[in-house]
Amino acid sequence: MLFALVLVAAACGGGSDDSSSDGGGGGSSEGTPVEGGTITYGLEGKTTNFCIPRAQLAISGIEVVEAVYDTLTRPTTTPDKYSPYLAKSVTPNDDYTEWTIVVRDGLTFHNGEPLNADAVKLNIDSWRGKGPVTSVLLLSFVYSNIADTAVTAPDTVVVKMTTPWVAFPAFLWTTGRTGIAAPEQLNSGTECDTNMIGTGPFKLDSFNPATGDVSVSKNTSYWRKDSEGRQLPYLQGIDFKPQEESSQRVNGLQGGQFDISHFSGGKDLDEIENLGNGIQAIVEPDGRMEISHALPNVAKPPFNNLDCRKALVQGVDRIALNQISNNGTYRLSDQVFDTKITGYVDNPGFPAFDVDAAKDSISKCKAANGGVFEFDLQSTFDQDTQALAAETKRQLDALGVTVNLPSPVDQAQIISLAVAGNVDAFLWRNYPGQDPDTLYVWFYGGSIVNFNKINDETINEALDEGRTNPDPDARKEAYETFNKRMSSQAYNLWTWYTKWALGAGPDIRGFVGPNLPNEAGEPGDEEAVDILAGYHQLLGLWIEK
Amino acid sequence: MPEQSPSPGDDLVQALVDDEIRGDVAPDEATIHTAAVEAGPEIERLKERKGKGLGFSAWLAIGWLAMIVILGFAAPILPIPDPVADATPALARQGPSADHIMGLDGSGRDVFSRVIWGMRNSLFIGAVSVLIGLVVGGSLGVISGYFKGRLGGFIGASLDVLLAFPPLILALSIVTFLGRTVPNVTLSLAIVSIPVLARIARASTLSWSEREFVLAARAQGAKHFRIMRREILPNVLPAMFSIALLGIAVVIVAEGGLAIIGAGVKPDVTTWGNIIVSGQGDLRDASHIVLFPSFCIFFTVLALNFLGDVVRAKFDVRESSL
Amino acid sequence: MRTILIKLVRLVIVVWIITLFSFTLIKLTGGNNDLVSKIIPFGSEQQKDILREDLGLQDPFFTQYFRWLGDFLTGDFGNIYTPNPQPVSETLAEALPVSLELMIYAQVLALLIAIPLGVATAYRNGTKFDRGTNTIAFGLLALPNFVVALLLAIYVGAKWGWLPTQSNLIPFPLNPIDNWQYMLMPTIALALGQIAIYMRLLRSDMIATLQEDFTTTAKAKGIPTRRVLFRHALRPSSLTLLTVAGLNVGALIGGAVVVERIFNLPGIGSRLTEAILAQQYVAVQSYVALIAIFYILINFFVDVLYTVLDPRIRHARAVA
Repeated sequence: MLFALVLVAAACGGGSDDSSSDGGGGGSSEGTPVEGGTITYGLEGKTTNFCIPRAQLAISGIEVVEAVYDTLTRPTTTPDKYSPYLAKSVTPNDDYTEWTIVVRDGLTFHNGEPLNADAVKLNIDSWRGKGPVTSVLLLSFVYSNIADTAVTAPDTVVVKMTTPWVAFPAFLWTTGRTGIAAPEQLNSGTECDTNMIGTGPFKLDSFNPATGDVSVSKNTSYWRKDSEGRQLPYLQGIDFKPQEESSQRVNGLQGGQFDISHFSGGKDLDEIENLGNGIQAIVEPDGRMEISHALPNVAKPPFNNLDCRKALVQGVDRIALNQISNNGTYRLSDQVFDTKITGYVDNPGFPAFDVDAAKDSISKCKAANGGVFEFDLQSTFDQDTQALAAETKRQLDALGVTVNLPSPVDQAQIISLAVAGNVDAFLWRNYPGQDPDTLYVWFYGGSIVNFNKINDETINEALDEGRTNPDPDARKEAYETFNKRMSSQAYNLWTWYTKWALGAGPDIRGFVGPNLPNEAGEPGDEEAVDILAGYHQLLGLWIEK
Repeated sequence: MPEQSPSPGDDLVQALVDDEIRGDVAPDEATIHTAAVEAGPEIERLKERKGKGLGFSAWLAIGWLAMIVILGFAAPILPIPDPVADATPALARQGPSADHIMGLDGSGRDVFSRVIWGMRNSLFIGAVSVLIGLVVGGSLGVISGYFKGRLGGFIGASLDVLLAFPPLILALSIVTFLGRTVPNVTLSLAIVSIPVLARIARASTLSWSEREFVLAARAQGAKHFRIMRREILPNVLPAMFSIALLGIAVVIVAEGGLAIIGAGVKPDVTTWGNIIVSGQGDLRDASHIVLFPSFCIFFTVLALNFLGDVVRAKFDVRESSL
Repeated sequence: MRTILIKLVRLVIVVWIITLFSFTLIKLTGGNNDLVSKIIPFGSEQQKDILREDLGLQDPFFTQYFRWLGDFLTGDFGNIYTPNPQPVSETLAEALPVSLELMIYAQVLALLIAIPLGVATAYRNGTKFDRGTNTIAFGLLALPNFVVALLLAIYVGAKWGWLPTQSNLIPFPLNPIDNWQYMLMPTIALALGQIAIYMRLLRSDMIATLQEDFTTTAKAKGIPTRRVLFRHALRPSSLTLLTVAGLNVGALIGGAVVVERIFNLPGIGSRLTEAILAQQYVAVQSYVALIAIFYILINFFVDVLYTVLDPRIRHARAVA
């Protein structure tokens, strides 16, 4: 029967084509950019709210923000250095208690409103919770260090801090979240969620919160040009389409429905590299990657107990998980930093995988918890995360730990559950390699987005030191202390450094884009970052005919 | 509800299948499917060889079904790895090999073992739900066919309401709202099969209750229940048996469908549907994960359909003149 | 006429019971607070209160029911909370055409192939061709639509790359060729099982018809075989076939839900599946009710149509 033949084929064949993989990133050797064309971008998640002060943006939302908005600063190829972008300059006073932001001249939002100091102040105040935007504000803790914002000239905003804030420019990028929105958007109440107006290279055509589809088209009066003087962006438009299953995004690339998509799993990267037909894989370089991990809630049992946390770390074989998710190709991580980040150490004191030690920790944990070690492990919908959760459960079950797998929820819901403290543990991915001060919000005691609910004196002190002390050596020491404390206390089960990759059709170019603008607004000497934890620029993309 | 004049759809089913099946309303999807299975040359050939024993194909089908039933029962004591607890992630997605004849899945679990445990669970769900359908539906059908009038009409109408739902939709709604456990999935599929089996039982009863021996028994003053049990049931059962075999096949497929849309049993229980769902992301490089359980479903359904035909052919009692 | 009125009354009653059943579904989840926090698991007491209001959870059962019914009949099908409330009716407008398109394509394809095959095998009853075709059909009856869908997705889609498996569905009016590209595999997956059913039922019916007097008479008159087959014999059988096709919509609906999920088509099936996975009970409830009502309406129309059109019934009535 037909079926039998099919089975024989599966048994004998199985492998994919051995076509050459077209890796290669963007670069100046790509040829002359061509104007025009619309691309379809496959996103890994759906965002339903783009009112930046209160939006819960993960990488999918961040890429949309990248199209429609500009941020005041941008990351450079040096992890601790941020270059002014929408701002002309961002300068501190002597003790870093005041930062002066000078905005570029003559720029307008998509609706015609001028980009000036008042607009910037409105944005910053909105982030702080002192603006017209209401409702749950995840960003408000991030900016709680700001005492006051003042407009001192039509193009100048002076931001006063309550304590010195050395790495403030990093927070004018906030991993791509804090795009500067037009006052009209911020003032429009509930419409703020959907009424995206920025200064970015693309303007909003349509946004469907139900499906998460976003369409943007070229902003013909964008303020940037490339190094040859050509108007940016090159593309005529981008259609963003969410597709949570990564295997479906791979299919989409193969079939041409997606011109570009992003991937964080090694399995998917392998598939893309073997698709052939000129499909490109642009891979993030090592050194600044974000980290996949299992994140326990340490404010309540069982993970408020160190032995229970150690049991988790000692009992789970990350090599097995790595094999399932990434065909074993990703680098395992034992700390909160990647190798190029200040604070990285060779031996952070992360408990090693050791089944005997785990059993010991487990019995201690149970003794402290009435003989029980049980917790819920929450995952998102995608098959990959669910498989990881199931494998984690399988390993821990064998050691006598009871792991429950509740129904999956989407990314936004996990964030909400975590904020409310209604999870025991969940699988997550975070901490892109930037200035370490950006980790302040994730780990400082009392922060809304401190999902772990950590309140650790050593960590708080180290984070405060790193935030306020401008001396590079002092900062390095502080962050190393923080790092070692995180790992030795097993506050997270680190798994691997997540290597992001872009998959793109054979005719897509311009992944790195032009150099960052200098004071005059033209591409200067500072190179743009290629991929940082999935984030990448869009304005330099073009289609080769 | 007043008695209905025979609806035109019945003519169809009547003409195509036995005269036994007679309903008061248009046939439903399950009846149509049943009619299609039993309306081919296969049954004609089976009837021709009546008395000459079962043919090769029948024995093949019986053999396959016996094998999976035995394997399913024996699963806990077979020397195979645990379908959930035993995994070798280092070998995840590996294709068939000497050590793992059906390869491994995305989490490094042995596919062969999972397929066998899937047999156990999927067959369990199939058999139990159809059994419930047979018992409950059969009883309701016989009662409503025997008593006719008000009671019969009322039961018939209630069952028609259930039949008004597309079967998969009805099943998924019950599972979604009650919870994704094996009992709930079994229950939902039982609820879906009850009206179908009731209908057939009722139609069959309607015709049988006009027979002389039944009338005679009534004249002798036998109680209704006794008549139903003694005279009618034994004649209704053979037809039901054939439909039941087909029903198990339908339920096995339905379980797979439910799993795919997220309304099946939770993944910690191994069913054929769940194996397929877990392998959906690996179609390109590890298609064996999806292919093996699919093949099993196909062959099992084929065997059940064929046996249903065999039973129908063997027990074909002509409804000839009274 | 009287029969039709009776059927209409039954229709209304059944629809009413369906709404009652659908409404009760959500009660099965147990516990009111539990329910609200499942649908919108996170913060904002304000939003939770709005949902509680919407659901009217404080009120007695029938008050809640009539409220829900009232909303339902006026087109308010509740919201999907992911996390901002989106009206279900909005999702319908986009998803419904896709599902309808898939089901119509599948039905048409199935009939296009089944009719000639049914006629041919009936005519050549007993030959190798007949037996061979029916063996294949018997096999197809055993092949679940999701297995066909997966096989197509693996080979035609992923390994050979002939057709796209990820849907960026372009509506038919915009670009028919692209549209068919995306719809071809799902249509085939959905149609294969139906082809087998229709072909076999038609064959059976035709065999009986071919033995009847009027066909033998026609042949004796010297009318060419093909004409006898398609003009005379097929007519009465085709009516019943179309009835079956109409009544088989339930199979198409169930199949469409599964096939849409596998090929990621943005139809009602996908929306329903997403709602199930996301525990959006309000939306699931509405989708289930709508699909059931749609199905019943189709059944009703087919039933009525047949009553009106069937020559045998009309003849019987005329005689009576």
